[in-house]
Amino acid sequence: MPTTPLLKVDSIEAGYGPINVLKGVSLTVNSGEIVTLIGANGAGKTTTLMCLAGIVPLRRGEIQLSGRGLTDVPAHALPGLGLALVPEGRKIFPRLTVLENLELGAFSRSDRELAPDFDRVFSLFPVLKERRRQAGGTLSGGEQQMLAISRALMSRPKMLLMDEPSMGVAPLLVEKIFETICELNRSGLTVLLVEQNAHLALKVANRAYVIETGSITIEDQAARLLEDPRVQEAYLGDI
Amino acid sequence: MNDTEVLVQQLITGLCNGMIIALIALGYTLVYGIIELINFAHGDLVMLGAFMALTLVAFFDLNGASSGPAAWVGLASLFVIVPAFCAGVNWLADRLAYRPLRSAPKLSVLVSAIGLSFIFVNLGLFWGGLPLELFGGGNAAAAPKDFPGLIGNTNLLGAGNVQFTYKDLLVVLITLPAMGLLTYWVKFTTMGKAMRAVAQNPTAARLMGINADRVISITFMVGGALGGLASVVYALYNNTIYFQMGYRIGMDAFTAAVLGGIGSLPGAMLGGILIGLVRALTDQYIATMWTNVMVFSILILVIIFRPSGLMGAKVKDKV
Repeated sequence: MPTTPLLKVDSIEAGYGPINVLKGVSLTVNSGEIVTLIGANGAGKTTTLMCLAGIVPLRRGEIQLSGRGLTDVPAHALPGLGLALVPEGRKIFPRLTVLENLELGAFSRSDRELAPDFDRVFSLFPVLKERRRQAGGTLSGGEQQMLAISRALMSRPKMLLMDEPSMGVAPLLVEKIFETICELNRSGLTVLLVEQNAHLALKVANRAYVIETGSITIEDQAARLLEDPRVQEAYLGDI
Repeated sequence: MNDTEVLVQQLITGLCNGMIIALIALGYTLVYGIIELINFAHGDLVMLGAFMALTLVAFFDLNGASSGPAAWVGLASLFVIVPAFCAGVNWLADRLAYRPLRSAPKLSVLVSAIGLSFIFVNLGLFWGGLPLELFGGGNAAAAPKDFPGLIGNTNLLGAGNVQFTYKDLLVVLITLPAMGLLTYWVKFTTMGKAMRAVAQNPTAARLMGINADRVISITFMVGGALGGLASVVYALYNNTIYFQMGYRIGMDAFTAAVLGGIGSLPGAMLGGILIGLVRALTDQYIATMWTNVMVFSILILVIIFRPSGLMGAKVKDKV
């Protein structure tokens, strides 16, 4: 008997105004996996994550987290259920300090024992400890990304949704961030990763989906997609 | 009175009026900070608070001669019931008039605020016309109402020419702690941080598990409560209320918020005190008929030359 996937997305449709961006996207993520969703600009990657986070409403289809339907769950209740999003463009609070940003990451938790969580994110990203009293807006792009990831971790999620963690981040830090994603995954965190940098994403992921104009066109093991000529041509080409 | 005494006296008067204006300005700036709305009904909310206070004064049968424990309880209850009333009305205003327009263009919400201002003014007019034997100014709806001098005018500085009375002391004892508490609440409590988070990025705040609608409701209630507190202090300090007072004091407070940098809490406090001082000094050294001109000139000059105000952050427009 197959186990219930941690996240099950069943033919969702969503969009803005008269335009449907997602035209029936289905995917599953099992506990302990890193799954990546790759695709071109405008294919619907971010919209998919925004639907999962409850920010963009569904027009059709269903999302289940551990078998529980999320249709009537408002966005602000999702972190409490173990789902956290690191949004595209990081969206940290620019005029709050690093510490305050992190504290708000734990807003959904009923306990206020944050010290172990601070220790954990500061050991993942020591630079945040140095900058803890600085306003979030004064950090570099890479540091902001680290803060955004740490902030999401403060809610102690079961599942982390990540939208373009490499965007606007210096190459050295991209490496560091992807290493951290693997490290978090080894310690039990399930990850759904959306990335423009398909090569990088496929190297860290277990499985992958390719999305084109709002529909999933390919689904396979990440390692196999790295060798897939269709993927190589469209997303891994030497530019 | 010699020249120095006149100046000191005007500074005291200006500071006290300024601190009342500052409390009201905080209501403008809190709401602007979180949903970028100039809540034009806020001054009129303060007016409704003042009518509530006068009604309570009649209900508790308080007057200048009242004394004893009952009078003290009655007086203290003004500072609880009126802020609660104004918080409730402001909550309702947001719930009924502003929340349905959350994703509408900013101008629609602004027009709603102006509409709400008219509704409040007319409620005040109606309230003033109630056939109750409460209001010293008689039953003419539009007539200014006497607010009994519950706080004494005894000069605390002894027999000198400069007056610092119990009334002045009251203003200081109410407004300063209120500003201190608000600052503490916004800076250090989880709800205060959540409020700043919603102001800076509502979507990201929702991703943190913050119920933005709830935080906005709470912000309206806090702003309303401060306005209610200001209305009680205003009525006790000035001893006259009228249904159009919200327009004047609201404009002063709005100018104060803009002068300080709208969205900035310390800015609203500083702006309020400065506007109070400008009013007092213009009254004394130029002429009272120029006082409003002075205040609005400041408003216009700030908007032209320093739109971010004295303490406001220079923020890029969110496109």
